[in-house]
Amino acid sequence: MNPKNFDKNPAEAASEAGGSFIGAELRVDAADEEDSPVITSQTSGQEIRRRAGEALGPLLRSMLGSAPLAPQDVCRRSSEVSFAEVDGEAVLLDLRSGHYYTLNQQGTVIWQLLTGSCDLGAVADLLCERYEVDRETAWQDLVALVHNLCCEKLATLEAPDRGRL
Amino acid sequence: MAGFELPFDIHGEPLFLKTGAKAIADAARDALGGFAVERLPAGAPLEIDLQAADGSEDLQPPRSTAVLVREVPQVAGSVPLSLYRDGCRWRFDFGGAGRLLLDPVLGRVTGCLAAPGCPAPDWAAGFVLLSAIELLRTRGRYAVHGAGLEREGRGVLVVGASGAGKTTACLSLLRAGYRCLSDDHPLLCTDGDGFQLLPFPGRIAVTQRTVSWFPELRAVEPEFRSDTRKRSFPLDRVADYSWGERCRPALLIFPRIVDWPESSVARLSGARALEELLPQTLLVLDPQLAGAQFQVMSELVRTTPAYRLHFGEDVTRLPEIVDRLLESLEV
Repeated sequence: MNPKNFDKNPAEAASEAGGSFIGAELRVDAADEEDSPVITSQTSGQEIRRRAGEALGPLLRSMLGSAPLAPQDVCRRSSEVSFAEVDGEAVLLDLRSGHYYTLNQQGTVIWQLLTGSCDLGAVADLLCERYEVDRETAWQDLVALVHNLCCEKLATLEAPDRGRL
Repeated sequence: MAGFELPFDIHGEPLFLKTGAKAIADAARDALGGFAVERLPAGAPLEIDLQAADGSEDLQPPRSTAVLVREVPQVAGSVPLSLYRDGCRWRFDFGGAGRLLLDPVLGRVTGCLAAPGCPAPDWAAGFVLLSAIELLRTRGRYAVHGAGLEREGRGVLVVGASGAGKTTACLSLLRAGYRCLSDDHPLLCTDGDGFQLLPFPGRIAVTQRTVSWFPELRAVEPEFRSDTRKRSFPLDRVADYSWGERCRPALLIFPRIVDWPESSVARLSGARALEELLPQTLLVLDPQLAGAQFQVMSELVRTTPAYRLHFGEDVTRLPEIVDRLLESLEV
């Protein structure tokens, strides 16, 4: 999600974001990736596993992106993520990894609603009300963001009839 | 073994350094000399026990219970850093050059260096500084990788990675009457009324290119010391340069060197400022401490205007730009 697309109103932003109401990606700091040393024979197995996980992230994300979510599913923010809202945008800090992420204004509204007290259907309804966007668009973009949050382990998903996903 | 026990008072926080190596004692005076005292102030002291490595045992790999958390290729000069969590303690391994073991609960760092006197005078000082900065974090005093300046009680914080132009900005403002808090790592803390920017006196490290912009530095060039990557000098050797006092931060500046004749500034949103600020101050070790610091930095960008400085070739014009920004804030 590139927040710069959302400095304007949702309609203007949608055109720049390829028709999406909420962008599909989290904006993540890339410092560690840029600084990653080359893997050598001295690199520990643990580090190799970590780096493999990073490399596979996009693939896993695309696989999860095709998994269906239901309106009665509940998404909950991780307690190991600290967040701060600044100028309407949320900056999230994963206290386990030190990675931080920025959500645009719509993403921030969703993040604040992911307390586990209402299901995704209710979150989509609130978005429709607040931003005058059609439900299908709101739902698809909400699902994309929730998948990204879960892939980054910033949130967990609970489905009433399927347990924790 | 003859030893050195050095007490420091870092803005009210007692810190005690113990070592058996003269090179490390000298490094401690170099890194923390501005805070040296005869006796420790009251309160539980932070402790650094840093020794010269005595045989290969001191630099053995960490215990099997330690978990590798992060690897960074370039820290403290040119050695790699591997960071391990071992229970509630954190181990910084600098290849075969040395290691530090931080216990944030006890407020203590123990460590050893393979060759504390090599390769340059600031080498061991870097270990002392890292130890002190991590310990101070546990007391709510946060070092920010930036230049801090003060004038008439108002603080300007110039934040950026190495090479972003912090020291050049610092010197440009110093010659215009601003006073220095640090050219590399001032401290930030909160009090009942908001934030305080605290001085961290030390040597000023410059490149040859920086010297070329400020003719007044040529007069003290014979006193320059060759450090690991740069050359350094004591600030008070230059007429009209002086140390400042604790103050309230009024302005955040994030420089980016550009190949333009003229510098310019653009307002940064709070979220963008926080994105720029976090990598220059926050090393996530203990989650609780990191969470607390994150909230402090978030509040800083909420309450302090931030600007991107496109730092052009007119480096000595910076005071004019900063003065104008500060005046606009008054309005």
